[in-house]
Amino acid sequence: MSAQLLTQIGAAATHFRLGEISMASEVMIAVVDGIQAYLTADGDPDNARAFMPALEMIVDAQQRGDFLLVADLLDYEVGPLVNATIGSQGPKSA
Amino acid sequence: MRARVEFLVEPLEQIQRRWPEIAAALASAQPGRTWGLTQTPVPTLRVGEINITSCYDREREANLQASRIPEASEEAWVYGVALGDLQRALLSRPALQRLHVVIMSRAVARKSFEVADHPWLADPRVTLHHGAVDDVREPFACAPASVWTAERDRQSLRDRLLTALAAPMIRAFEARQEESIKRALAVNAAHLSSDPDVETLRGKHAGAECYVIAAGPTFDEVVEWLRPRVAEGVVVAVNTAVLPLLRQGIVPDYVVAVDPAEALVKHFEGIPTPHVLADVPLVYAPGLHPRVLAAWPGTFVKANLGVPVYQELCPHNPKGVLFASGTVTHVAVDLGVWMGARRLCLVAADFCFPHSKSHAAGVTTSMPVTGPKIFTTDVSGRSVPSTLNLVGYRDELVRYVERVEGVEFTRVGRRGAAMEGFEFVEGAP
Repeated sequence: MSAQLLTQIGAAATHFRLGEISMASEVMIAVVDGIQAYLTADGDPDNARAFMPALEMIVDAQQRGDFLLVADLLDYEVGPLVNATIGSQGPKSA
Repeated sequence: MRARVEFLVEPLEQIQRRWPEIAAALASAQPGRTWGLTQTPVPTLRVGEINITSCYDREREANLQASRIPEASEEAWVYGVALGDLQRALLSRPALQRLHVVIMSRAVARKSFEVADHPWLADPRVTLHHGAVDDVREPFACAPASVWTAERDRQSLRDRLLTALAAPMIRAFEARQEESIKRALAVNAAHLSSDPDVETLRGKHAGAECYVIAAGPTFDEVVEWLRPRVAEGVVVAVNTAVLPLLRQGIVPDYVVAVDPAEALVKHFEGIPTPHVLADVPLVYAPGLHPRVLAAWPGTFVKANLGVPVYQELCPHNPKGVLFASGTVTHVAVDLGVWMGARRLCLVAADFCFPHSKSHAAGVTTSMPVTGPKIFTTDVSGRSVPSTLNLVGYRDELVRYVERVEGVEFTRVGRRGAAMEGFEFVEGAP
């Protein structure tokens, strides 16, 4: 799961950096769904709290069209978090 | 980043020496936005509310953007100056002989020259452009934030660039739509064999005043203006406008629907007074979702569309071909022209989201506008949110109007997106 999610995160960031907003937005739906699915299955509030600041910043940045910041947050904040939490542990209920 | 005092000497001097007319254009740029440098791992220029580059790794980002251009290319186009990273990445390639850099916003470029080094300006392979380049030249790469912050008279170029960047997704959507059309053609076969052709409507309202009515957010503002006028004209409604018109007691003379998507059905279910539509023709494309045909209480006229998928799947039936390029509004406008309108007034076809709404009040698909947007200008010159699709449809309609002779095109709805070729009706809302 983490490998697929990391691929999607990288793809969304790449599309944003290339200016391909439509494609980026489509991939972002899969990214958000993937993170939510993990956090729901995981059930650990500490993990949920770890993701929250970056996800809130992404929502804000997307709303105001700051897409290169969205790409940065995906590459340098969310990606490493996925690696650190999902990658090392996997969902507890999985 | 550099101290401000250094800027006004080097980059502008370099530009003054090589491209004096561009130096003059930069000097006259109005700032018009807030500016700043970010306090981030790597500082970048912040224009209004957006970062002009990555604030973590600009070089990696620039290399990625440069990857759009084949390594062996001798010539390349870059849209947007940003902080010069993309230009540096491309000029590091020995194969590159000519690099064209197109300024998308004089104010953003000028500010960038204030805060960053731009050694690429001295490279003899570089040509700097502003104003004269109106189309997308290949191969190209772009500094996307510079494209998104394009100044007003570069917005048409911006939209073409964004459309070019979205091409793979558009092709994927068209492929999915083709499958839906094929399924609909099979179900609609009985209709297609017996319904009259749009050829029967050619010239039927020669010399008439025609109102083509959509269901954009300005519908609610213009409907009172519209009400006394429609009795004297021919009313062509696009699918989403049927219910809003009926609620206002206005019965269209023709309704146009072309979409194979099931979502369209919502606009035809639960029509409160179906009997008033008993004699109203639904002008439909062969691939219209079958449930729309089933729900329509009036008569039917089939029409072909001038798009590749229909020319391939059903080139001879229907015989009459109407213009289409992404939206039913195109088809409705061409139907008005086809029927001989002398004057065609476009109503509530906004191609943007005034008041952050997607449709007129009460339209079943009406929703608050969220997600990625681009900005265009409305009839009054105010900035208004839109989407790449909508401004693309608007531009296609403008190009269509340029090709049509003998018809006066007008429009109402002051908060709709500005459109060349459509005279705003004096005194209208």
